[in-house]
Amino acid sequence: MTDGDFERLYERAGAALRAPAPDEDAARDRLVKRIHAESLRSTTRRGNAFLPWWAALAAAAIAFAAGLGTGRATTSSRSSTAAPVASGAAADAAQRPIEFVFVAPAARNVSLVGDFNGWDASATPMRRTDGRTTWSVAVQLPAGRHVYAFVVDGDAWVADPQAPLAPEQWYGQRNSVVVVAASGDRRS
Amino acid sequence: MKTTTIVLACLLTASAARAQDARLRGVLDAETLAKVTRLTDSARVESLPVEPLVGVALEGAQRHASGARITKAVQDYLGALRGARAALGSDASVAEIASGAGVLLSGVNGDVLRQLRTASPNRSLTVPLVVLADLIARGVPKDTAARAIAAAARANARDDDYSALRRFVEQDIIAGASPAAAAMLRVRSITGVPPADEPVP
Repeated sequence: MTDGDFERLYERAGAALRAPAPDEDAARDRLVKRIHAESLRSTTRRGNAFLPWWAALAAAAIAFAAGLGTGRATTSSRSSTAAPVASGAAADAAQRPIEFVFVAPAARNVSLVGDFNGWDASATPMRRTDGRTTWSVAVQLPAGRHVYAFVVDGDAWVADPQAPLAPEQWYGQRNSVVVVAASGDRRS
Repeated sequence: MKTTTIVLACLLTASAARAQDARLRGVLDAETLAKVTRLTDSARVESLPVEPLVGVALEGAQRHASGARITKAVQDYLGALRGARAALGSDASVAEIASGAGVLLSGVNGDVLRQLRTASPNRSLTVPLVVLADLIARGVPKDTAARAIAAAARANARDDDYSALRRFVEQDIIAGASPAAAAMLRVRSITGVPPADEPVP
């Protein structure tokens, strides 16, 4: 093989390496989807609908320091997709069970208030579910957007630290939003 | 003549009482109840959702807000519902209108809602709008948040994608990232493309 042959070989090899692979875009899409799917699995596998374990722990620590707690709203199956969806402004008569969970070890009592129960703190008390720290309750909600909060010890209104925040602050504090998807509805 | 007037007055009074929401009657004072009822009646006449307005009034009553504050909240929400319905179209669902009103109350221009509807004519905008409002509430600048959600809509993102976007941005912010950078980075990882740089309305 002559020097000229080597040069031509190097040029061809370089050109081949610089050229995009035929399905590079598709491969990149697949990779992004896989990373995305893996990220979702890694958060739900630990039983937390919104945060990885370290972030949840940090949020919990902050909430505990404030004497409050952490929470989440999920479907009763605990599938924990936790899409922001549902409430009294419902267009779909069918109702779905939604479980609300709140971690508040120092609380004496916790209740759920929202547009679905007239914001009445006595209407939907939550129960300790693990004997110590976690409070939960399941309620039937129609499809739509629902606004809610937790009431700790009868007077502290707390937004769900793991749910989307409601933009409205009519009375000085934010609430949380849960969206309940309408089955088979194009627009919920 | 006098009898007719009395009968008419009675009928009008009875009609007004029927229009009042029974849930509000027990918790609002008479003056606030009358003002809130006028606002909910306006919403009903305009075919706007009434339940969100009743919910705001009930929340105020349970939080022991003053009658003036409750009336102002219902009035402002009614205005936002009108704006959201105008931007999203007359066939928008109740949840979309309520979510859109929340976005408008966050300071976003109604044209953003119109753009999102154009980008996703056949999909519910409830979740995207809830996530948009959440991003803004967490400190993402309005323009950046709107651009991120618009990019996701153009990429045909699903509700799960929007929920993931919200979660990831939230955890990035907790970890110390700037809200704007977190939103731009995460929307790119979800859609595979950077958000367009066009000006936000």
